[in-house]
Amino acid sequence: MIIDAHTHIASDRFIPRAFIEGVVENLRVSMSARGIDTRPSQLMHIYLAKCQDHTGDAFVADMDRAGVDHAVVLLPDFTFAMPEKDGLSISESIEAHASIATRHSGRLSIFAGVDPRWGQEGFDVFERAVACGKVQGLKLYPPCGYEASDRSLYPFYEICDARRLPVLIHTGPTSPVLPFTPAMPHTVDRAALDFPSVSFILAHGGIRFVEECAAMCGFRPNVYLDISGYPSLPSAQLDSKLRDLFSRGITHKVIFGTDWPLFATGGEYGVSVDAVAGTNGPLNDLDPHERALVLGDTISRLLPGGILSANFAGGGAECVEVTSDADLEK
Amino acid sequence: MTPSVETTVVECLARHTGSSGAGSIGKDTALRADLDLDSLRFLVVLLEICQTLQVEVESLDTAQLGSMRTVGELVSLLESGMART
Repeated sequence: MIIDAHTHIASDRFIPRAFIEGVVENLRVSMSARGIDTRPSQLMHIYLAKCQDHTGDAFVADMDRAGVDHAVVLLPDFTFAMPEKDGLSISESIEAHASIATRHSGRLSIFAGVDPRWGQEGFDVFERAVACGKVQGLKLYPPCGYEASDRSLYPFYEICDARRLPVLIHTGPTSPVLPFTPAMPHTVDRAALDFPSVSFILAHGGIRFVEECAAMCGFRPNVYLDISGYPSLPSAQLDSKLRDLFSRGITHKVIFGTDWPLFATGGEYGVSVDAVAGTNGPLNDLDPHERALVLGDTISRLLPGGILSANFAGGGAECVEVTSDADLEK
Repeated sequence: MTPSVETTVVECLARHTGSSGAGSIGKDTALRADLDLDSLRFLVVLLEICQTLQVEVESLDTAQLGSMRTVGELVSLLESGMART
C-alpha cells in the first residue's frame, strides 16, 4: 500500500495569487543568474498551467498510474494573511475539498486548517467540518503569521485530541512573500509536549532542517516528519539524504509524501513516486516492515480509523454539501 | 540552415546534464529517470530552448508540462508552440 501523505489539489482557486507571484520571483532570479531573461508573466503562464485540475480528476488518474492507493490532500488557510478580492473563503474551500474527496470516494483524505486569528468564527468552521467528517486532520501554515505553539491554536488541538486527528505543520521556507521564522521546527515543541496524545507531523522535515526535525522525532513520541518536497532534489542528493535519514533510528516516524503538484513542471507524478518507492530507490536498504511503515502504514495508523474511514458521512442537516460536481467543474 | 527543434533540444539537454548529446539522448530518453533533470533544471532548459528557437513561452500548451516524460514529448510541445508563435 502506498499513501502519499502530502499533496494539494492543483487548482489556482485555493492558492493566492500573491503566493504564486513570490514563487515566480524566486524562479525569475534563478533564471536571471543563469543568463536567461524571463518576464514574470512567462513564468506565471507555466506555473498556472499546472493549477487547473479543479476536480482532482487528473490527480487521481495520476495516482492510479503511479500505484498510489490513497493521498492526503492539504488545504492551508491563506485567507487571513493574504486576502483576495473575489477569492474563496476558507469555509468555501473546505466545502470544495470535501466535494472533491466525495467525488473520489476512498482515495483522498483532507487535512484543512483555519488561521487562528479568525477567532471563534474560524474555530466554528473547523469544528463543524470535523463533526461532518469533511476533514480528517488539521493542516497549519505558520508562515502566514503564527507559530505552532501559539495558545490560540490550543482549542484546535483539543478537537484533534478528542477526535484523534493528526496535525500536519509546514516547516521551513516557502514563498518569499511570507516570513519563514514562524515555521522553524522547534516551534512545535511546546504544543507537542502539552498535547501528548496528538500526532504532529513536521512537513518537509526529511528534506529541510533535518537535524532539528529528526531530533524532535527521536525524543518526542508524538512527533513525525514527512519527506515532501523531495522531487525538487537531484536523484543523487535524494538518495544520500534519505539513506542518512533512515540511519538515524527514526524510520518509524518517517512518512512518504511528494508535495504534488508543486514540482509538476518537469516530470510526471509517477516518476516522482518511483524515485522513492521504486525498486532502485533509497528504501531498498530497509526491511519490508520499515518500508511499509514509510510508504503508508504509519500515516494510515495516524488517520482517524485508518484510510478506510476517509470521507465517511457524519453530522446532520448542517453537513449538507454545498459544492456540487457542476460547480467544481466550472 | 536553422537547426531542427530536436537538435536544439538535444544539444541543450546535453549541455545541462553532462550527457554526450546525440549519441545518448533520443526522443525516448526520459527527462527525469534517464537525465536526472529536476524541476528547476527542466525550467532552465525549457526557457533556454525557447530563447534559442524564439518561441513565445505564452504560446506553449503548458498544461502538458505536468505529465511530460520524454525528450520527444518536449520536442512536440516546442514544435506546436513554434507553429503558434
